[in-house]
Parts: sequence; C-alpha cells; structure tokens
Amino acid sequence: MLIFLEQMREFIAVAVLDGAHQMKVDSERDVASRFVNHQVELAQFHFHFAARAGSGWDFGRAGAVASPVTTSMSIGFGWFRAVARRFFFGMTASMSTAVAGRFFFAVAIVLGGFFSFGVVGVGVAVLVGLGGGRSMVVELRLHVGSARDKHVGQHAFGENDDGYQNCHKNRLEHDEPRLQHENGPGDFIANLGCSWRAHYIRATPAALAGGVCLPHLATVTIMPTPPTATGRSDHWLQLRRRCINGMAAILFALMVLQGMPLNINAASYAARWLCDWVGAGHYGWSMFAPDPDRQNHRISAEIMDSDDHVLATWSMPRWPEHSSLVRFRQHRWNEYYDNVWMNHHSRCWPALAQHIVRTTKRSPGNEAAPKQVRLIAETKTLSIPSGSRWPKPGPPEGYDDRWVLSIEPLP
Amino acid sequence: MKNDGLSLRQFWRTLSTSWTVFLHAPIDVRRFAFVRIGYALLILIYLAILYPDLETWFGPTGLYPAEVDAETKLPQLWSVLRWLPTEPLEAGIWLHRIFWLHIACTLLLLSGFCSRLNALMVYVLLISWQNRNPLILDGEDGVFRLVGFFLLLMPSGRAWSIDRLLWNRSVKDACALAPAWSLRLLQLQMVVIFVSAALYKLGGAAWWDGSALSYVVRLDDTFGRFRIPAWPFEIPILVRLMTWTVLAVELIAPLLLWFRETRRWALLAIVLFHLSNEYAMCLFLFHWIMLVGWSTFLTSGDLQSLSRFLPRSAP
Repeated sequence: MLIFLEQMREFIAVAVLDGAHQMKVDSERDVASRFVNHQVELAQFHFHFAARAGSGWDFGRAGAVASPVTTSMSIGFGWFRAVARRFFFGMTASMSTAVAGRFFFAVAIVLGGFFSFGVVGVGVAVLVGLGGGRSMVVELRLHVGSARDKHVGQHAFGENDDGYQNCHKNRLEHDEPRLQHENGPGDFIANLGCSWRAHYIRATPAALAGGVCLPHLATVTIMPTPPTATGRSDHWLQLRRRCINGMAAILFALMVLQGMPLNINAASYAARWLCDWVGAGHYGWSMFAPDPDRQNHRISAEIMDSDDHVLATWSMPRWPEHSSLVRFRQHRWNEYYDNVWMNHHSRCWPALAQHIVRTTKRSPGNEAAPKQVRLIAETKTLSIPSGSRWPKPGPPEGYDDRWVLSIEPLP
Repeated sequence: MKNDGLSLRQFWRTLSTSWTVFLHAPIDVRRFAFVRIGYALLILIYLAILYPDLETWFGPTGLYPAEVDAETKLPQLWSVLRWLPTEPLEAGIWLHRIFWLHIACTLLLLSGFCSRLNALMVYVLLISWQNRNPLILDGEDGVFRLVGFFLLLMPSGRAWSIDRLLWNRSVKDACALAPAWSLRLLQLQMVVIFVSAALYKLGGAAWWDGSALSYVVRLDDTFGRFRIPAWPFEIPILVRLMTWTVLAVELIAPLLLWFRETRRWALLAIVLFHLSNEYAMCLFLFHWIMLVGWSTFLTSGDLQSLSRFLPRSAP
C-alpha cells in the first residue's frame, strides 16, 4: 500500500505540475524509502493534488504534513486511506470533506504549514480550495520495461480514441527513443507491444494495487486527461490541443510567408504586418542574396564655417584596420554607417552632422564656430573575378566614386 | 483490392494525427532550458554592447532623434521607449533605468526564476530597443526576436532553474517531459531561415557561377575578423566549391536534421558552418544566436553525451 501511495503521490504531483511526465521506478525498496523520508514531498503531493482537484481537505492534509508543528494534527492513516480512495477513485470531494478540509487547512496554515508553500502557495491554495469538489482524472500509461516482464499483464481501460492511441504509439516509436531507453531498464521500444494503458485511475485499482504489476514497472508516463464520461473536461483538453495545433499551423504559415522568397508580396506584407504587432516581424532572410554587395562604401564629412572654409574633416572608421574586439564592440556603429548613407534615411543626416561636430577635434586655429557640415559618400566597386587567379580577400584600396550626400546647416 | 484514391476524411485524419504527434510528443524539458540559458547569455552580451551608447542610439536628441522616429514609425512597430520624457536629461535617466531593468530580467531568466514572466519582460524590452532605432539593426536582431518569441511559449523553467527548485522539488529524481510544440515551432523557424536563405541565394547569378564568396571576402564591413590564408580564395575552383558548399549546407542540412540517422551529422555540419563563418566574419552575435536556435535539435541523448565532457566531482 505504501508503494502504491508513494507512486500515486509522485504520479499525480508530476502530472499536475508538468502536464506530461515520465519517471523511472527503480525498485520497490527505493520507492518505499522515499515515502518514509520525504514528508515534505508528500505534502507537496497533497498540495498539487488539491490544486488540481480543488479539494480543501487535501490542502489541510498538505499543511498538516508539511509542518512539523502540526504533524500531530495529521488525521489517521485509515481516514486518509478512505478519503484518498474517494479522491483517487471517486474523483470528487464531497461537500463535507471539502468543508472539513478547509478547516484543517486554515488551522494547519496558521500553525506553520505555509513553511512549505510560502505566501504564493497559500494564495493559490485558498483560491483553488474555495472552488472545491472539482473532478479530476489522471491518465496513467504503464509500460513493461524489459523482455522478461513481457507477459505480466495488459490492460486497456476505456480507451476508445484510435487516433490518440496511434498517436501515443507513434510518439514512443518516433520521438526520443533514447530517452525512453535510458529511463527504462530494458529496451523500451522493443517492448512497446507490451505496454499497458489505463484510462482512469478509477479503473486501475486492480492493476495498481493488486501487487501483480508494480514490481515490474519500468517507466510510467502520466498525462492528465479529462474524463470522456463527464464530457466537459474532455472537450476542454481537445479544444486546447486543437487551439495549439491551429496556432502552430498559423505561425508556420507566417514563418513561410515572411521568410521564403515566394513573390506573393501582398501576402508577405500582411504576414509581416501581423507579426510586427507581436514583435516577431522581419524582412526575410536574404543574407548576401540574391547577390552579395559589390561595393564598399565610406562616409566622410567636412566641418565648415560660413565661408566654406573647412575647419576639420571626419571619416567613419575603416573597419579592417581595427581589431576583432573593437569591431565587435563597435558593431552597432558598423550597422549605423552601413544604413545611414542611404537616401531614404536622409532625415537622420542632420543628427549625424551634429554628432560629427560634437565628436571631432579641431586643430588650433580652426576653432571658429562651425556653420555647416558637408556629408560625403565614397564607394569602391569590387571587380568581377576572372582569369586563373581571383582577387585576394580583403577590401581593395581607395575609392573610385565620391559625391556629396548633403550639406547640413548647423543650428 | 480497392484503389480509388485516399478519402478526404482519411487524409485529414492522417494529417491531423501526424501533426498532433509532431507537436505534442513529450520531450525532455532540459531542451527548453538549454535554449533559455543560451538566449539569456547572448542577450546580456547584446545589451552590454548597447550600453555605452544608450543616449546616442535611443535618446531624444541622439542619432535617431525622437522627431524622426515620430515621422517614420509604423503603429505596429511599438516601443515602450516612446513613452520616455522628451527632455534629454530625464530621458537619459529613464533609458538607464530601463536598461538595468532589462539586465535584471535577463539575469532572472538566466537563473530560471519566474521564467515565463521574465522571458516576456526580456522580449518586450528587446523589441522596444529594436523598434526605437531601426538604423542599427541587421538580420541577427530578427533572429533574437524570433527566439525570444518562441521562448515565451516554452516551459523553459522546468529544468536547470530556480523555478524547478522552488516549485518542482518533488520530481527531482525524475526526468521531466513536456509537450514539444513550442520547441518544434522554433525548430521549424530555424529550418525556414536556412532554407529561405538558400532559396534567396539561388536567385543570384553569383551563387550559381560560384563567385559569390569572392565578393564576400572583399567586403570591408563584414569580412576579416581573424587572419585566414589568402590562397584558397585566389583559386577559382576552390572558391566555387566553397560557394556551393554554403548553398548545400543551407539547403540540405536543415532537411537532414529531421531524420534519426542523419541528425547528428547534419547538426555537426551546421555547427561547423557557423563556427567557420564566425571565425572569418564580423557578424556580431548572429552565429551564436543561430546556434542557440539549432540547439533545439539536441535530444536528451545528446545532452547526456555532452554532459560527459563536463567536469565531475569525485564520488
């Protein structure tokens, strides 16, 4: 029974927290010792179980178990077993247990139960506990891990969803076989056909508590699954899964429309517009494409007074002359100079002119107040590689074109 | 045997089942955590580079002034920095506050405390910096946004995190799993990036005739990070082979990643591709954020193998 309770504790705590979980059960002894030594974990189990099932009683139990001060308040194991059975297999906490649970919960919390959960845990407990009596179903999937355990038993309870069954089977075959293998003592995949599945806990006491199968468990996968019988929760899970599927399909479509060179500009624009609202927009992935740049460029400037006299000259850094560390640190400047010289960014040129004046040192005799800045662009076109020897790596010297971008008056 | 084609119902059922299997298969939560940690570390470097020039890039009188921003901004390109005061001194103070808030959230994300909340904060602030000044952006900023977006959807705090210590202690000896869909989306995104980059390149004559790399190595703003031998770039056939190798890696490796037999080799090819480019080119954090994205293809088995290289304490 201890083994059973311990397993249930871990199963459900994990299921509540993670949604889907796989754990390894090493041995009967290991499970039993963990049960004895980890009171706090036991309390957490109650807490998570209660959070899931909305059971005030279990909050009380959690608080009581968690706090050494209130351990003495822990209600007897028999009662626990009885009510636990109700929780595990009956699924619904009755009004009386819920009310009693809230009482115990309140007392336990006051006496120190919150040491385990903290303020947030208490808040969640109160909120969920007030809702008490919600049904809870956990789907267990039990698998035989090694060849020698092959024919211990097979049980399938209430599984009527072929799609999901196939999905489960495919998942094990297709995804993470290594993980499955590592967590099980035997070749998990080879024994796939010997897996058991139980749809509801209420249907599994014989399989779980009968003692026939427990020593043979290798891996256990748990997924919280709403009952098909009650309808509502099942629909909720289905709906959630469908929503995720739909959202994934939409996001994938947006990825393709935004990123791929599809030449359907209106759709790509719409996709980008939509993605921009959530911050995930971009202009496609045309890196060095369709052809790499065939031009190096440089921006320079002449700071002038009113007489067209050049007070100082300025030029953007020549990047190949800098160390890789400097280039890394100056990366944003590199991008800025790469973009700002384009005509559609001409609105930013006055700010660039002022920045140049602020940061450029002038030689003695040229301290007159500058009146304007002449921004100059220079370009060097890269030669087309031909012949038996192509050009060496590295930018060619000099620039073969030069023009004035703008003359920016200073305020 | 009846063979009059697949029924629409069957097709839809097969499609939806496969899509469900693909998206909802439980996977090792450490894979999410790996992305979280890598991303947070890169964001810290990203921000550190911005810090010296905060007012210059984002201030109301900086190189992208507030009035220019007001004229050119699009409503969908939102930024919390637009709420800053217009007075430069006060705006500067607020810029620093937002910067340090961003750093704090990134550190919390790195440590895995309230991971989802901090991922959201990091993402919102990152978008805000980027949308406030588009002049200093390039492709890698888009990758940062996308990885941040998909990280929002991931349960990245379930492993290697304070969240796990605080809220998930009861499963410390279990190998936690979570549905894969958010990770799958990032995987798909990475594949789309690579494949679309290759398709764009296929539209250029220089990539077909193999001369593209000859141009790339002569660009002054991107090439020349560390010293490389010049002679391979002077021999036409070698340049052509290198150019076509780039195309092949970008086009084929992302597809081979999906098959068990070829996944590790494809991943190795991609890692080598990025590291060699990182050696030769100055693209800031582009290759590293791409590697974070590709790390989504590391399975728990790979993580286990990698962990063997880590130092272990004596028993």
